[in-house]
Amino acid sequence: MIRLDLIKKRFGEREVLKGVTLQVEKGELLSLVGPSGCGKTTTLNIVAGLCRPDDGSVLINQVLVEGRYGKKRVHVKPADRRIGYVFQDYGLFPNMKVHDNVSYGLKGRHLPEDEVKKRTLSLLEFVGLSDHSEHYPHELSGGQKQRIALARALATDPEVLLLDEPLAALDSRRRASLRTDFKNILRTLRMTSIYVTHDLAEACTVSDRIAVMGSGKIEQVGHLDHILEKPNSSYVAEFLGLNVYSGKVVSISGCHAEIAINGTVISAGSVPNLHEGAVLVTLKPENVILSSEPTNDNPKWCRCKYNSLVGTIVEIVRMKSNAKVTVDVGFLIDSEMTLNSFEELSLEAGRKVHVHFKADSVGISQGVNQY
Amino acid sequence: MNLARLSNRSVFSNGTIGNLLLGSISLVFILFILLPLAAIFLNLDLGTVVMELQNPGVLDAMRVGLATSSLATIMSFAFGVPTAYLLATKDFRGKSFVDALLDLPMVLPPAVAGLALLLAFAPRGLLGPALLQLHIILPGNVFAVVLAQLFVASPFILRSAKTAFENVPRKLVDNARLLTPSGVRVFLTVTLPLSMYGVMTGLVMTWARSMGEFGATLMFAGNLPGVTQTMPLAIYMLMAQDPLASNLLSAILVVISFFVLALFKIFDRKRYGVRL
Repeated sequence: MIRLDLIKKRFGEREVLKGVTLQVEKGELLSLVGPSGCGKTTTLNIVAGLCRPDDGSVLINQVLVEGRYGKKRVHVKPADRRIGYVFQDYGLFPNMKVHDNVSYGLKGRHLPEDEVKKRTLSLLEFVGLSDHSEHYPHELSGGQKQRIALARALATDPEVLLLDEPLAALDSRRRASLRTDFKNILRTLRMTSIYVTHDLAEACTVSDRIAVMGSGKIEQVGHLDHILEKPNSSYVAEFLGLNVYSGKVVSISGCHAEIAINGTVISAGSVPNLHEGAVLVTLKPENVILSSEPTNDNPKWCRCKYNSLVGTIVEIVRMKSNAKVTVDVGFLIDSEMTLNSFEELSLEAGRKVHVHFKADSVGISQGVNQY
Repeated sequence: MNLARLSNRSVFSNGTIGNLLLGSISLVFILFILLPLAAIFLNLDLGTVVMELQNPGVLDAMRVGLATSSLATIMSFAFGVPTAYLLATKDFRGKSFVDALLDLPMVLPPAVAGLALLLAFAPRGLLGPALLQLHIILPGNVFAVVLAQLFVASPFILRSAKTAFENVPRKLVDNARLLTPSGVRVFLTVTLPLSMYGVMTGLVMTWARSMGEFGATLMFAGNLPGVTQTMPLAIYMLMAQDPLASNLLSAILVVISFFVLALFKIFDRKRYGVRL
């Protein structure tokens, strides 16, 4: 188990961590996601003991490794924390062969030589690179390097594994295949781990729970579905790529509510304890349908309440397999669709288009941060 | 700026007259530098070389020169490398001031360096009485030559090793610290091997500078043949009595300098050649 309590850290004028509190359960893999520069790596370095916080405490498996014990300041040396750390740019020692890299930590622990050899070999087999043990790091591909880095981190039999954007330095094709590899390896290990990434898709693939980090603070922790359903701040919602608005509840009737956003009124499914006043409105772009007709003729939609608005296309972004279209309907709304539907609709910027979304797909939460 | 104007920026870019002018100016300068060096060798023939190599004055100067500058280089390694490591990796009050002061011997006039060493270590100097108690009188002693060389050449090892240590990626050191509890092991297995070429460059330059040291040695250690007379001192002293001996010593120093430069180029190229 890893527990961080109110960790604060300043680098000169810049307050990098403003009281980070986070708990990772035993055997759990938690993803720490957030934009670049929000303090993810600093948090990891503090857990590892490579960086000392100004305030706050770190516990690993109920042992205080950083913080205050009475009046005494506690700082356990990095090597004594039993941590495996996988760096973004591999961090392999370029002057050592693969097997020396993997056995580096073992040799520092004065184990018998044949034990070191046996363990090194079994780790290389575990990551599927046993025939590369005589190579130097620069002779390996990025993916191979990262697997060696993982083997080295696991060599000392750590209690906790920290991974700092381990796949970020790879090209997108390798990243996808290594992502699956990593997921399988990490699942087998069932080790208490923190996986830092700025890529939400990567976080979803490898981990059970996700912690979204804003600038210097943990914004929300939970399972992805839960966070997507109920982001607790506009920051989190925006980070997740949702449409985010601050609206006002105009009326509530039964299981539906009318909400005004920038003067445009939409219907939404109500939530318990909803009352009139300010509200955070979120909407997944893939739930927003565009059409050239004023009504939606999808038979699945005829039984439920939905919103139909009219707006002008502001921007179109075409990606590999889908397209994102931004429409101004009094407020800006993003819609995501497959390339097929995009081409069928023959959309272009400046044209008028009808926007439909179900009332039930509108997420509303009250009493949360709307910064 | 358009492409046509860009290509016309160089005065010498079009026309043979421009190229001719550029070539002749460079040629004059290159000759000015190479001619004196060539003169040293043109003046020698094999017979005199063989004869002068048996001249005790020449042999003593070579022996003293090689021994002292090698010892100075070893000492610069023993003291300079830890100091460079301290300056590269630790923070302390007044660090940048100390750092700047340590460069001073590089630009200090050699005569000033010699006088400074006398005022510090000679029998009447600051530490003189204490050294006298230990029956150490530095001036006139071969060890004084070593100290003069070490003093003057110290910035070379400090600069070079410090830059090399600073260039070792922080992440690699962090990684090693996570894997092994011993800081000494981290230094010996990761930091030092990865900065080896920088340290070697510093050592080679220190050795070369020590071999050529003249002013500080003359003032602090004196000019005793066979004891404190190094090659540059011998070149100066023998110039009147035995010009050929001084000529030969110069030729040897030119050859040594050339090889040092070659080594420097090799190390310097490899310095950042460690692939990460």
